[in-house]
Amino acid sequence: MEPKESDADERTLHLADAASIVQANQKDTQIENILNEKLTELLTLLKGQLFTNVHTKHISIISKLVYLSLTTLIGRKTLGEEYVDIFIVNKSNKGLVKRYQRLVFVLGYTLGPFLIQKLIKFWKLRNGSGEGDDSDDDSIAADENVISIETIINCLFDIHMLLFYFKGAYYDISRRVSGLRYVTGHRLTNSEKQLKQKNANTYKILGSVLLLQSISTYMPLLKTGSQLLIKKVYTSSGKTLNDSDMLVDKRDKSGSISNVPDDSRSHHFNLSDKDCFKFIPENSRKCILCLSDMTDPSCAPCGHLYCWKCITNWCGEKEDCPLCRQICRPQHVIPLR
Amino acid sequence: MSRLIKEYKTINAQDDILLFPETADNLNNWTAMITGPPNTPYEGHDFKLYISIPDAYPNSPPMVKFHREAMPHVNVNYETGEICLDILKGEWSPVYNLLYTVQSIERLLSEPNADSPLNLELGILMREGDKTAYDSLVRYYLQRQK
Amino acid sequence: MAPSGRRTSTSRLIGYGAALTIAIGTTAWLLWNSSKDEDKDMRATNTSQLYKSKCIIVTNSASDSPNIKWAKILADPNVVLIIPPKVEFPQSAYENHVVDSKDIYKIIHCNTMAGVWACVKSLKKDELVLNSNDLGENVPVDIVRYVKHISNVEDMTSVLDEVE
Repeated sequence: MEPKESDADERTLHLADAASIVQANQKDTQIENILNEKLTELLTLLKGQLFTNVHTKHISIISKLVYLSLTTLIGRKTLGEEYVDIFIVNKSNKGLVKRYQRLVFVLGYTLGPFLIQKLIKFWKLRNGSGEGDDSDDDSIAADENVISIETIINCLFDIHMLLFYFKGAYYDISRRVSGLRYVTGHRLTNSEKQLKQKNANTYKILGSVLLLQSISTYMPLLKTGSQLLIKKVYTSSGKTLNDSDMLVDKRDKSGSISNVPDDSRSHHFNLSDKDCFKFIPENSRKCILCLSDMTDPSCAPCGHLYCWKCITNWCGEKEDCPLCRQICRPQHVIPLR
Repeated sequence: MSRLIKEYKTINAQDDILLFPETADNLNNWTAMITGPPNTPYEGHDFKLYISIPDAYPNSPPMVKFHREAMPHVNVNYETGEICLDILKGEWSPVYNLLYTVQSIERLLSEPNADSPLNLELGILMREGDKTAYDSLVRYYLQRQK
Repeated sequence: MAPSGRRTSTSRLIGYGAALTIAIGTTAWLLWNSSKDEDKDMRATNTSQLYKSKCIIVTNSASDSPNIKWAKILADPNVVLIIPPKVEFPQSAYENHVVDSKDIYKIIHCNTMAGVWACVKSLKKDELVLNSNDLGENVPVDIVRYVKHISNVEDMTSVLDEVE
């Protein structure tokens, strides 16, 4: 896809480089925004603030549609393209693009993202209602699927962006689909060529950075995805879920404290036993939180006694004493021994 | 959960307040009846409270609501029946129980709090100090439902 | 700029583009509005049952008038009377049991004008009937959001006759 240097000099024009395409796009976005602003102003006057607030997305689509219909669709340059002097040619740089290609581009560029969003939403809704009466596990799995569909789309966009940075051919997916490429509208001088080469290299560096970034974002996803897949394979092949669960559990627990003795094996002080902590009078041996005889009576900094479990659970919620509201951090609760 | 069973037993012992689980085998949903306190526009009316117990109870407060469009009160959203009361939100303490919660809501009827209105118009009437209008409007809503 | 060879067809292209834009624009517009049309239909049927419920701010000219049959007005389940400060609702209406005691709750007495407007907003009746001259105060601008129609009348007697 590099400009063909050898035979290009005489008859064909140079393919435009990434920098010019980005610049043209920025200019166009700027103009689309101005158009959008004006349209919003007009509609606010006609239909009121509420209408424009509700239909922000639609208005921006309309303004884009109007702009591109008046430029690209009827075969004219957009202001951005004019600005950097590039124009649209077909895939092979052998001629102008056909009208239907331009139409596909304009529709894809304006309505595409909107439609994709709607589709995802629709899909989610349908799935949400469909799985509603199934068991919880199923709906969780469905959630994971939806998330992965969104990430797949994002991933596609990122890959597309990467390709642009390396090849400098198609800035949008809609341009790629409809096969719209850009060439510079004038012969390049040697110094200009050198500058463009330099620019292309900068873009390649940017591309590499982007590549690294995407790898770091998508690698963990890939990992969990493959784990899920393994899990599914396990369950479908008749093996018990426990095996794969333990696999996942082992991964999750790496780095946390191990060898904590099982709760049933450790010794508990239970106040239902009258010989335990005889100094606690009869009428205060019940925990006010669980209303039962205290198990492992523990003292808050203010002196109030609760079960160890009850008070530490509450401190996870709010760090104060349930009775007197004095500050009570979980690390300050002292179990009686 | 065992705490709820204990609460259920103590409440059963007291007969003067109407607080009971919707079904005896499910203690997650309760109903309570409170009576309008005397010398308030609510006098002579009974109000139903719907209580649902979150899993984290008593570390999380119970969720309490009036019937929708049944309670004209500054701190109650008339349309939904939602109640704005400090102990049902940030001021909750696990020491409180269901009975105390219901009693607090009953107290709220005679001591409305103009600082946290969920019913804007009644809030305005309270801030303006127009007690006559407040009481007449509340009476209008209560009577209309009959 | 378009290459020179295509210049002859440029005007045709512009026409084509414009037509397409308009077509797409209209379809899109119709699509968004289609969802709203249902709402509009609902509203239309509602207004056809013209102003079913009324909120009447009683002022002195009305309350003094012997011609208004308060009992009949109050018998309508969709009517509320608001009595602003310094207006005397005819005591006779209460005393002689002219007004049915079960309808008395529909009379809301206010001690402040702010209270009057708060009541109007809270009640959200279809129609607000008042006499702003008599009231000595303008209707707050935001009231229109809480009622469908405001009848600002000079002579309340005529309007209230219709209520029957």
